[in-house]
Amino acid sequence: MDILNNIKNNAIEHPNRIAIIDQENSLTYEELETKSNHLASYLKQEFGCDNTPIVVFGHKSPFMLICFLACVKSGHSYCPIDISTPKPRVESILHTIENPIVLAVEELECNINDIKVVNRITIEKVIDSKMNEITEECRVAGEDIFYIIFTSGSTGQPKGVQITANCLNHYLEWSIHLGNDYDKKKGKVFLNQAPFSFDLSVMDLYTSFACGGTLWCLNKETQVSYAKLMESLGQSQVSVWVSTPSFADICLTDNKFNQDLMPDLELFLFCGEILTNQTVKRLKERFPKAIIVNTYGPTESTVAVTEVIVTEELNEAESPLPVGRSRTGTWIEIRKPDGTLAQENEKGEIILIGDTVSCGYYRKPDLTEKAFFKCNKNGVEYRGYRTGDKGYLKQGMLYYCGRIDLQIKLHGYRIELEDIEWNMQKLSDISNVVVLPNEKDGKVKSLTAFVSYRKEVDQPFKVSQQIKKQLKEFLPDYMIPKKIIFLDQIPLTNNGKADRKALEGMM
Amino acid sequence: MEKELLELLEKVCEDSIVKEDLDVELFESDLLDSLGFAELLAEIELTFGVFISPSEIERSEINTPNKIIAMIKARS
Repeated sequence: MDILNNIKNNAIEHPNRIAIIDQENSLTYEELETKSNHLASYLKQEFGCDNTPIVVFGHKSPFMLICFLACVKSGHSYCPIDISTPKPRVESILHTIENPIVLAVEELECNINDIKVVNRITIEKVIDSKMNEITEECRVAGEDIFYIIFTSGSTGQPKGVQITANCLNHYLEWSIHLGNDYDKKKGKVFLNQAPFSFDLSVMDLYTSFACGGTLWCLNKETQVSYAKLMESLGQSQVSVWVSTPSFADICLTDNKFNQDLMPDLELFLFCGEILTNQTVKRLKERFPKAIIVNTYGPTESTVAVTEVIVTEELNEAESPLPVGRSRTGTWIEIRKPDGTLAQENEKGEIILIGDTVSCGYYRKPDLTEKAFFKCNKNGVEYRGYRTGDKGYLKQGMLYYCGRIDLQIKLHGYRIELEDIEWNMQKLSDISNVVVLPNEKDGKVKSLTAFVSYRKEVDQPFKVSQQIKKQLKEFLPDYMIPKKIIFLDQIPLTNNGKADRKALEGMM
Repeated sequence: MEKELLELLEKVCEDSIVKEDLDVELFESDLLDSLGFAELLAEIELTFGVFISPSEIERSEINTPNKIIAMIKARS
């Protein structure tokens, strides 16, 4: 697979087919190809082609895709940042990336000197100026970095996962066959729910491009209104659904969400968090004809590496559901704390080895060293990644059992609890804080922060509202604890660390 | 019914404020997010047999404990 060639061929074979459509704009494959070529020429001319990353800021506009492809065609990796990201976090990423240019599809206020913000108007002008064609030698290929996606880091600073062109192409060779045949996906409509800064979007976006499909993007505005959401889904003709299970749960609340609304729907692909039996059961009732696929994988191994079709029989027989068998090209090992291999059915850390494992965190050799390694399989050297996820294997089927550290998944978003704690400590009235997940049926439902506060708290609701408001300035919404409990003191263990167990008992 | 609903709301919102201040704004104050809202409607259907279709109402019609109580009364 060479995804850039696939897109080019789509532009030749189906020039007028819609490649991407949101609630306002659409782009055909021909437009996507030529416009990204023009922007790539500009990027090459202005900034060379040295594989340095370029930040692309925006939301669901088709322009985002022009920018992504222009970056990789001019030899740069791209780093998507969604508009929902608070400013200090955007700035932290810009500092880490250190590239003096940002492509801003949506308006970006940026207080960093020496950073050139190329705004939407400039991008449009460049695209329309029809610059010289860019040669294909510049392109990101092989072990060059294709994209960088930032995830929560335990030190309060997000870290950038680098995915190479090889990783993405290997991943796509597998994802086009997920759940049903490639032929059944060809030219079909794919649903995009996740923001582009969340790697779940890679599953819909590039699988759709690889299959010459149309990407139907749901923007934030549409996702928060049931009326708009149902209307959009009804118009979409979506055949391949890609979302977090939580998003399907939200849709299921509306009785309209069924096969009559979406008669073309053939396949649900889930990733990003635990898929529950209940969600599967309700989907089977509403969409009796559709195939439901559960997958698993960290951003560090390119979206997902396991798959299982969840049939009615499997859903009846297994609770919790398995996350699937590994794709060809990925090896799964379960390791015990002493480093030895676990037995069948024995829990341990999930280790992934294979041809989609990231080459590490951007400019963080220490973190890369800790989590990644190299090893031989069948005489070939592959990269490996210690996921920090707990799980076990039963006859080649992988079961996920939570984390071995303080990382959690909330509605599909990956969060280091320490990241929230670090950021909450910045508020001057907070002297100490511990954040804990509130779980139901093995799935994180919400977050609770235990706070020791410097001031008297006579109206806890009001104070917690104030704290949340302040936090919104530098943390994304999904990282803000739902509940804040005020304590005189955070209980400590004998080692002087916050006693998380004792606090769990107080929830 | 009111008491039962407030218990339900407290469970979904994870905060007793919803029992103390019946005019508290549920969405802006982050007491309810999309998933919480979905859960609440499902629970209301289960407990009171009142079905509220989320696409047929505006959030502003159901954004405080008092408004939810009124809506259930009107529909049951």
